[in-house]
Amino acid sequence: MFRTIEMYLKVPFVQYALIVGVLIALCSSLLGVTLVLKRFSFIGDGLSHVAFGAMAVAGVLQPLLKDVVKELAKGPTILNEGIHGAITGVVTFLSANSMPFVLLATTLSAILLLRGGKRTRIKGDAAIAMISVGALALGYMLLSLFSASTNLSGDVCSTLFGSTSILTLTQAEVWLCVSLSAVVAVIFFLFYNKIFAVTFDEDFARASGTGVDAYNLLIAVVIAVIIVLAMNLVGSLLISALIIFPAMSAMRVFRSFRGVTVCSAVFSVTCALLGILVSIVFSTPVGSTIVAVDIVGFLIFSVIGRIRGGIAK
Amino acid sequence: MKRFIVLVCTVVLCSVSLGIAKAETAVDMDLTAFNRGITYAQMIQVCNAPESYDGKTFRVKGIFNYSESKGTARIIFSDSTGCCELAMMFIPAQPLEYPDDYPPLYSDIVITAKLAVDSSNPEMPCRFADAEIEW
Repeated sequence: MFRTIEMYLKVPFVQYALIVGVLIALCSSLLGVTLVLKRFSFIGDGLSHVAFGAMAVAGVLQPLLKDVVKELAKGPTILNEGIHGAITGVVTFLSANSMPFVLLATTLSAILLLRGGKRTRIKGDAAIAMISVGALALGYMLLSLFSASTNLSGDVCSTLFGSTSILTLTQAEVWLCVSLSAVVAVIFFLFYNKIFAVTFDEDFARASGTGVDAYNLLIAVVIAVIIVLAMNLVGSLLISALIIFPAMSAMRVFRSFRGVTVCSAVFSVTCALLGILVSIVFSTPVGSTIVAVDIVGFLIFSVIGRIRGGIAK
Repeated sequence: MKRFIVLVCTVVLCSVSLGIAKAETAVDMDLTAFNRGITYAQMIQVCNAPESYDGKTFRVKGIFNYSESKGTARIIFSDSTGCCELAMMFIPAQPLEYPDDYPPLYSDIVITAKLAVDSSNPEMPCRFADAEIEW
């Protein structure tokens, strides 16, 4: 078994998958605590469906963009060379990478759903449900009508359940994931106190002069980034697991916000690492394996929490 | 003395020739020890950046398929659930007649072949050439 793991660990894309997987798990666990406490656990599900729909739209637009690139390659006509070159570069990048469009669409949806904060909560469930199922249905319809893929159901299955997405990342995608994960982690650590205040008591935070709207916007943008990244790891349908399980498991054992956050991060990283290794060795889908490990971890933490609670009594 | 020198030279030349022959048939990437999920992921990586693997000799296992309409043999790589598949064309080292000289359809095969890149064909930018098939 260890020789098998050693063999696979020498493969470059396996190393990338482990690095990216751990970073994504860390980022999602950090924001997961905030989302669970704000009663927005299912926002991950809703936004991931929006991301799926955005990917479908990007997939339809990419062949059109490739035609535009071919036209632009003929040379500048009205614009000067510098601007023409810049536009050609941007269009070429967008024709080959769907992530910027998906990020934009998901971020706008997150802002719509979350920016209102407490005021949005009244409409939160219905808004999430409408946007979620609408995006999923429209996305699947667009794919079935316009997709040029020879294995549409396989592509959809892989996007929804993340069977091997994390193992087939290109170099550019790996660097993008690492950069975005680093930015999310830095934002969380820099604004930890404000995020804490906005999570627990928005009214008090507003009364004490904290820019609650701005921090809700920041949280919304960060969540959107994490959702798009996490789709590569566990797929659209299982993203909620990365957000909910670490936070809920940590809450079985710890009571303070700091304790829950740290425990949640360690739990998430450990389960992601274990899940990826198990799926690589035993050839199981990566997303489902990570969630299965999360479930086992949650059960263990629940038992520990009960024992500690029993001892305390 | 002369006979001794001739004998030593003969032994050295034979060893060098054998070494060269071994190097020419050496496999650059032997993926037969990988499970199907990792094999599929590795081949996706190859197709994402085929220029980096152009001319390299691969030894891979997959499932055999043949397109009678196009007259092309393919090796299929799929992930663990079978929902994602990658089919790559391979050209045998010697001319073969279908179906007598080929394995049964959808059987497990191992091929040792060189990767050939065809940038003019965006749908299938890489394929295997000079393939030796084992089944």
